[in-house]
Amino acid sequence: MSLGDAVLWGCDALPISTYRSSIVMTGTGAPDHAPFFLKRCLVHHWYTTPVESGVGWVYEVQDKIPALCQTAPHILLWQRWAYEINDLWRVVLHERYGAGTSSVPCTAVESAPAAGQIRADRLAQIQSAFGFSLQDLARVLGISRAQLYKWLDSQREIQLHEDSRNRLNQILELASEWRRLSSVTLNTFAHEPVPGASDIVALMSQLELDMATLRLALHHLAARTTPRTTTEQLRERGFRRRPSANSLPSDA
Amino acid sequence: MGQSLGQRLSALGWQCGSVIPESLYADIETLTRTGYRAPVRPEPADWLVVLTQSCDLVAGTLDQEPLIEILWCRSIPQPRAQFRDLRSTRRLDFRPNRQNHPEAVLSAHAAHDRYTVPRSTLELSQPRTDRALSTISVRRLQAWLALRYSRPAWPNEFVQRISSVHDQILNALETVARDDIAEVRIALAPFDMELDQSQAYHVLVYFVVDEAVWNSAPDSRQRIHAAFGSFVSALRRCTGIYVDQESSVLSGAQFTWQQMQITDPWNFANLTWRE
Repeated sequence: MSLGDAVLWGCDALPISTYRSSIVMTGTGAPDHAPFFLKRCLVHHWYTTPVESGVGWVYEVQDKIPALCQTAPHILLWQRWAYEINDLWRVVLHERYGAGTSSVPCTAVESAPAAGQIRADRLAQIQSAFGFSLQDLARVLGISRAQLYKWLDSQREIQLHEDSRNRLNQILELASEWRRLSSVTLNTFAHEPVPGASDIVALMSQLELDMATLRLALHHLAARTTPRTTTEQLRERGFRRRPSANSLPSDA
Repeated sequence: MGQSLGQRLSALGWQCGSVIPESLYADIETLTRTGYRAPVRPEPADWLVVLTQSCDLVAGTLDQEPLIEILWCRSIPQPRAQFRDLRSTRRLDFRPNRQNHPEAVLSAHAAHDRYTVPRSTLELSQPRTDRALSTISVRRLQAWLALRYSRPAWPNEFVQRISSVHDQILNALETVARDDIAEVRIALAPFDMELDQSQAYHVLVYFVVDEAVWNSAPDSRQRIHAAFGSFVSALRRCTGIYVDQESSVLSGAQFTWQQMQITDPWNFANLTWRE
């Protein structure tokens, strides 16, 4: 098992608190390249998209890696490197949870997002862009609906197959692309014809994703004018939703 | 022609959320001495609040609206998590007026602290001028009382089966309740039967998203989808609960009247069995 494999495996199967052991068990490799390789793993395999709400702290860690390389050139062992990475997690968690304290509470470390949480966050990120039904989401991810329910459960430890992980990353990439192009959900145009397929869901459900064609299709759909809904027209005439009790500020 | 009772009360300044002055306490105590429960004897820090809707309060004649409803709100140091923000239909801890009385925190019980007295009692004085509920607090009190009668009554067995995931459900609900961006609606089959261990409750879950959020706020949508995943996953972990595959996150523009008929809103008050 290479370091990269271990990190990827750890991402899908282990909570943050055990990353250190997953890295330690990778054995020997090319220590000189470790920081860069690990950074690549962090960036490309944990999150393939720009910083979104709630996941920025992963980037805070990877941003610190170059500095670590300069200040700790003596790192020669995977094990030592693993400890350094663990310390980085602690620093970031400390900055986020424990300003003013000299150490990070264990609870903060333990509550760091586990692999299942990361997976669930990715699915929420995809759905925020697409807004597909669970049936369509399962189709584009190439899994069954029952399997999708398991993926949605952040407390479930699932070791994703490489094919599934790659597919998830590709779909996440397309979701990010769509969010850059439009603020409406892609599902708004779910039944519109696109170049190369009857509709976007069909195109995204193909066994092998043609990313170039898909990007073209997304741009094609983004250029469409979103029709004004009846509710929007009514709102323009002054009709407003009456605020519910949920809108009251908390009495905490 | 003289003023009607309603006009006189209106002129004195009475409205929903007014606070009864200490000068009326003796009359109120006498009127609430029923023999089967303690009469109203508020402490100085307590608030005796008029609950009756303003339009009923100023009704023209006494026979139209003979009684008014008052709520004895007792002063407490801090709102308790399980009783604030409509989490319990039985008890409410709330801040009566954040702007004018930032330190004041009150608590009221829906059964023990509600009293009715003749509307004419209010004619004897003006409401307190140094204390009044804020508009937000009035709305909260009204929503709290309405919830007591409008929340769905679920089978005890169903409530018991989901009790192990209470905290996860609360967390997921809090995420979407904040900012009023979505409503959680569920259908239960059967909704009116206590099942034995060999049978499962079938649950259909909809997270209905405000159309404006659905069409223009990807970050909020992401929060809602994450909450939906947590909520449904928590339910699926419960023994004897089957989550219907049609469960989904929907735009309010897609959620139909038919779907509304078979579902009930789910809110914190549905989870008050742990009081």
